[in-house]
Amino acid sequence: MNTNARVLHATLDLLDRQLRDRHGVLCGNVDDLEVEHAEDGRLYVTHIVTGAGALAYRLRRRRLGRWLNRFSNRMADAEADRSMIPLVLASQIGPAIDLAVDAADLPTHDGERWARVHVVEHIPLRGRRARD
Amino acid sequence: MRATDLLAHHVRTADGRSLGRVSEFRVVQDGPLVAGVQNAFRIDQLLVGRGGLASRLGYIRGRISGPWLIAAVFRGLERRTNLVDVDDIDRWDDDQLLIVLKPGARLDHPA
Amino acid sequence: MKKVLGIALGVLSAIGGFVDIGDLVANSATGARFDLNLAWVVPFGVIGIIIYAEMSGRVAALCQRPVFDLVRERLGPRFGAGNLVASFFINLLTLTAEIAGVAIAVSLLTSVNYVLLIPFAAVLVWVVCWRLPFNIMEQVFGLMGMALLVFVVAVWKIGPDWGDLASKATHPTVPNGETPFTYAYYAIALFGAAMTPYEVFFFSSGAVEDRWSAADLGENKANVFIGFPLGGVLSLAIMVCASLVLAPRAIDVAQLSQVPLPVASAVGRVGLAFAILGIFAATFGAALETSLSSGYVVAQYLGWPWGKYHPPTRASRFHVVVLASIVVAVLIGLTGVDPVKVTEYSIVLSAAALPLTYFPILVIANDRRYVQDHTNGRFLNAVATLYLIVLVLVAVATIPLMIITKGGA
Repeated sequence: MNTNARVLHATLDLLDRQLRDRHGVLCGNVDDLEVEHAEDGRLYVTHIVTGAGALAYRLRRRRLGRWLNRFSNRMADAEADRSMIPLVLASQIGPAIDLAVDAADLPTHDGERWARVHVVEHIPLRGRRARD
Repeated sequence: MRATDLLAHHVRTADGRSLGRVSEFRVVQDGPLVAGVQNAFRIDQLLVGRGGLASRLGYIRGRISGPWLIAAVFRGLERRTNLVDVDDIDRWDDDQLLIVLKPGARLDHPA
Repeated sequence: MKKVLGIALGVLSAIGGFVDIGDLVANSATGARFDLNLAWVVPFGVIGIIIYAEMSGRVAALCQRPVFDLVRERLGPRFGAGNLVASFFINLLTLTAEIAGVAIAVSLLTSVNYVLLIPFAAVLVWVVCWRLPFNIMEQVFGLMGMALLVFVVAVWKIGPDWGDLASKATHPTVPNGETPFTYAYYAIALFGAAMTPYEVFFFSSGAVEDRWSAADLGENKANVFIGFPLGGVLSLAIMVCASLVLAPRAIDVAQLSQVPLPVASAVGRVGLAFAILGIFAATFGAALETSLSSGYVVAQYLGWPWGKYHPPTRASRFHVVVLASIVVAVLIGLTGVDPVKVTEYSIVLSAAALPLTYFPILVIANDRRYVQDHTNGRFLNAVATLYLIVLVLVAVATIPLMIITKGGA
């Protein structure tokens, strides 16, 4: 084992961590991890899995989780499973995990968009986007 | 397979002794380069047994040392936890959620 | 001046936590029934919340992680979900009572039936939640809440025998007509009121909203060491007033409208006006805390963007949850349910959430990866662990005591 390689523990360092996109926007938690058997016989953690479907699966509602995931992908007309983020896109792993992606590409932001379009936009006093 | 699934597997030694459930696993970033960006994250060790809450909180491997009382409680649990090298895994039974180790597999305790 | 305003978060958290409608009535009722025999619980609770609020503020300043984030991260999604459900319902019930409390405060001035004022109060709370900047909200309501100092003035005007007061407070006994069970029940109610989880949800999320960083650790300490004791002083003043004025007349306190009676008799109409203003600010502040906390706990558990500092178009789900909880609170309030009874039920749910909320804070405050070199010292750890044990005992004892005493009857 290369002693300079980063060492992490799954439940301690990765699972349930807050995710941030490349602009620092909060975009979900690490709801699960995807583990694969490679051809060399070894086990690799390949993806961060996030989204309502992933959380449901994690809470042992497996069928609900798979259904929610399919639903979310279909709503966004996605070909690939958007809840899976390659782990190598994690640029920093600390109290939060920074990802080299945009929040808009993740399933968690569908809810954000829906809430804004269907609820907030219809209510007065919603404020302008300019203020941060 | 998901981490959730991996953490649901039970581990048994070659001679049939049950060690408990996988409660945590350790990952080392020394696999082959992926997309030319970073090395892959290889699982090298499984923590088996009752150390789930302790390792999730950070008390295993002495990462957190205080408060004294809580650390002491969790250190007691470390003795009932086993470290298993992934290379010592003989076979996976995904239907029964079972991992069987090779004979002579070395079992460590998290120091 | 900026330094003075800098403690506004702590003051508001304390006011919303220590002298919300449930506590206003509980402190007054306890003073009327038990004289000063439960006075010791207030400083005991103040120390507890100072310890844990300081830790949660420190963690928030050093790594921008608020408490509920940590609950899921360290206890896992299942315990986190359990805590979420309990905390969400506590917030909702408390919010219902606080909005009613705001309406009651206004009705004390206008003689309109408070139920009719509930929607008006709710709209006001919502407008502040959605539009008033966080720091202005802190300062306005923190300052207004200081009007409750009129209770301290009332005590001074009554001119009690201080030696007698001190001796009664430091030699607590179970008074005649009460059992050890009712004594313990009210002690737990007062202690639980001092350490209600939404205080730390609000304080730590507020620290992130106020963009605290490592440079603000001193400000964090100032906030907790000034804000929460201030809340404690107000609590005690209300209790002492009730013990001096209401206890001798065997007046039992069950309604918010009875709380300012001692001030009216000791300081007159001006004092009463201040008391009502203070009650308005305190219940309004608590309504703000609990409605925002509803949003904080859901958004932080699920990883959504959150925060008052985001306008509703930027953190839409968070703001929708806040709005929805205000709406539900109004609907419950309009059924005319007694707001004081509602807060009593929320105490029971609090019991479940208390240890699950405070335990992760204590662990993280010792973890270098979150707080770098600012881990807890050994003395702090020892005291904090002691309080955690007390919290677990309180959590275990609450429901049996509630049954035995039939809700403190």
